[in-house]
Amino acid sequence: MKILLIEDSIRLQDSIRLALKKSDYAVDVASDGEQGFWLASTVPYDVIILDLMLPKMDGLTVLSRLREENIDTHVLILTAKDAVPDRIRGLNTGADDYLTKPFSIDELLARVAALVRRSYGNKNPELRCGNLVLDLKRQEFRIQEQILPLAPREFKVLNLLVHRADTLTDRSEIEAHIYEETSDIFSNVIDATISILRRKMADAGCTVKIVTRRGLGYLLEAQSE
Amino acid sequence: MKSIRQQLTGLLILSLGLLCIAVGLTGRQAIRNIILQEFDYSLITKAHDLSTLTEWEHNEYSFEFVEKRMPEFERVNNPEYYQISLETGDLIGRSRSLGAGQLSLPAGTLSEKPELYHLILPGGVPGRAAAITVMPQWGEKYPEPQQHHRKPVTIIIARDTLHLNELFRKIDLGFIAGLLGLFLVVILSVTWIVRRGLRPLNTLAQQVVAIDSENLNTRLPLTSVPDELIRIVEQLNHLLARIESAFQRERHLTAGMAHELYTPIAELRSITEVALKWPDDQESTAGVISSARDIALQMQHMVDVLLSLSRYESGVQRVDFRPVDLNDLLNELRQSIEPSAQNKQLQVRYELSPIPLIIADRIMLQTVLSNLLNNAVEYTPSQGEVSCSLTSTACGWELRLTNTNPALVPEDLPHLFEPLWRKDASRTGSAHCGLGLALSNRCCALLGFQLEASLPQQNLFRMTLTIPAQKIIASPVEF
Repeated sequence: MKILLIEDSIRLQDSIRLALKKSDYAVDVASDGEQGFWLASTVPYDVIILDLMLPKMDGLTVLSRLREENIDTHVLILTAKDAVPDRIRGLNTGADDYLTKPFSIDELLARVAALVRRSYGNKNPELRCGNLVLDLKRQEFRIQEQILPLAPREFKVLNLLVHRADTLTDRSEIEAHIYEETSDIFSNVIDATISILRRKMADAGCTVKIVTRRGLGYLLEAQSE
Repeated sequence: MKSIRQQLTGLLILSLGLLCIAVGLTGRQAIRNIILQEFDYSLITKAHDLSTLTEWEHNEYSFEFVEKRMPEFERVNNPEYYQISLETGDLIGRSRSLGAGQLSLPAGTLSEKPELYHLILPGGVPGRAAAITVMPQWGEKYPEPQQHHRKPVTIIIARDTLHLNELFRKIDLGFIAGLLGLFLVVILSVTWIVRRGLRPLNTLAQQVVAIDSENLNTRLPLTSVPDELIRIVEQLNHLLARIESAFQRERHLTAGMAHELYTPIAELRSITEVALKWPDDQESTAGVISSARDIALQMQHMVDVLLSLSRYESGVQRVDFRPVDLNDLLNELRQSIEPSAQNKQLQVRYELSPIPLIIADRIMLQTVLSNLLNNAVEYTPSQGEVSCSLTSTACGWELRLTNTNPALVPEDLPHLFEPLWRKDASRTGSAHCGLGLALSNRCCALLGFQLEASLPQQNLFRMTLTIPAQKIIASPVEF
């Protein structure tokens, strides 16, 4: 899952980015409104965390321009403006959620997770595919009540595939959702990760398989037991 | 202190009550006098009537009393009395009602002028009498030349005053009852009149009481206000406007400060929560302590400036006027801004004329100059220019700080001295909290200096500090 953080405070950038990364999100950061708008309009993000008082272009302008360009990425406004009219204005401009500073980092993560779920049409904090269970609250996969041990990259890839469930996901989409803007992507990393995931899932007795549709992408498919 | 209503009511009731008593007493006395005069007039008339019945005839006095004409001297109940006597005391005649008794004479010499006096009648009854001394008339048979034998006689007419006293008592009772009734009417009417008269004050008081911090935009209506209260209401409305303005400033400042503090608090909370959540992660814990200290210092600076502004605005801070050498002060400040100026590759020029000693509070002046110089360096873009000039003018001395600033527009100038105002609403990376110019402006006002902002040319911003001539106390000192 890939998050865009548009925030001008360096300290908040660092701490939020770190918390999101620790929660297995890929994070891109923009320090001003123009850069944030450019990133949001060119890279597919699952959620955008948007400050309102930004240099060069304020947050509401960024948001309204994104909506004008039909970019419907879920936006969480994170701002010190806590007055009711400010909240109303933000939500009416097209924000999906509103969180005021100072905030709890856990609450921010919970709200981001909720928005990610909504991005894929899920409301349940536990996503199931066969006997594979994704516990969004604990950020872990379980098979038959046993935790499936995964490296961060493996978790991110499987997380995306579970969220998209019956939808084909191609390699570029996986890259876009799990890698940060500045990451160096090697061509075989995705293939290698898929291969490891298949082995770990099979070893754990998972009834779900990652199926490759050649030239189209990957798909989770439940197998009959 | 009693209320105006109570005081007015009390004084009015007291004064009107006394007036009623005085008028009543006067009226009572007048009525008594009239009745007594009528009573006396009746006695005197009868005395004169009897004098016509007294004659000098045959060298003796005769008195021809006709009972039928004056039955009041003969009746059994409530009779009247008369007595006719010589100066020697010899009786010529008396009424049957007197029996063997006599009427006492008044003290002093009697004359034709009636003498009226109180006396005790036979039977111990109180009475009132009229006594006159007259010459008896001539009998029909004797000519006037023998008049030297004729002697004056004293005629006394008396009547008991029981009925008169009873009448007076009834008048007194009526007077007291009337007075009490009048007093009650006075109390009721005064209370009503005062209450009605003070109703506009009560209405005004209710309107004022209804105003609190939540509805300070309320203004007291001037319609249907008595002339005497119009000025008070106008002054109250002006006062309300000033209070509302002060409250708005206070709220604006408080809200602004809360907002200013949100970001550093959010930063502090965020970095510490991340460090606590992943305590073993090197990246999450690195730099937390130094960042927390930096944030604390930033907030401390903000609070320090705010407290200074509050002290200066409330007048708590004493202004310590002393001779100040601007030479020293500007030298110190020049050195303090040099590193920042060099980092931004600014061209800083000084055009300082010989500086006189001035009368000022050194700390306040240092605050002003430090803010102006630091702002000039902070808000000048890299490789921009800053110039500082000090010149003598007709009004005193002017310190001009001019710097490159393409961001400011003329519409920004009125807001520059407002607390917490900043051109860049995002406050990104700024160590300034937006209180410096407000503080400097207040300091200048206390020092008797003037601080003005202007945009002399495109992309150029200037702050001008005017030091009036009366603040100069010494000859110029070479810089």
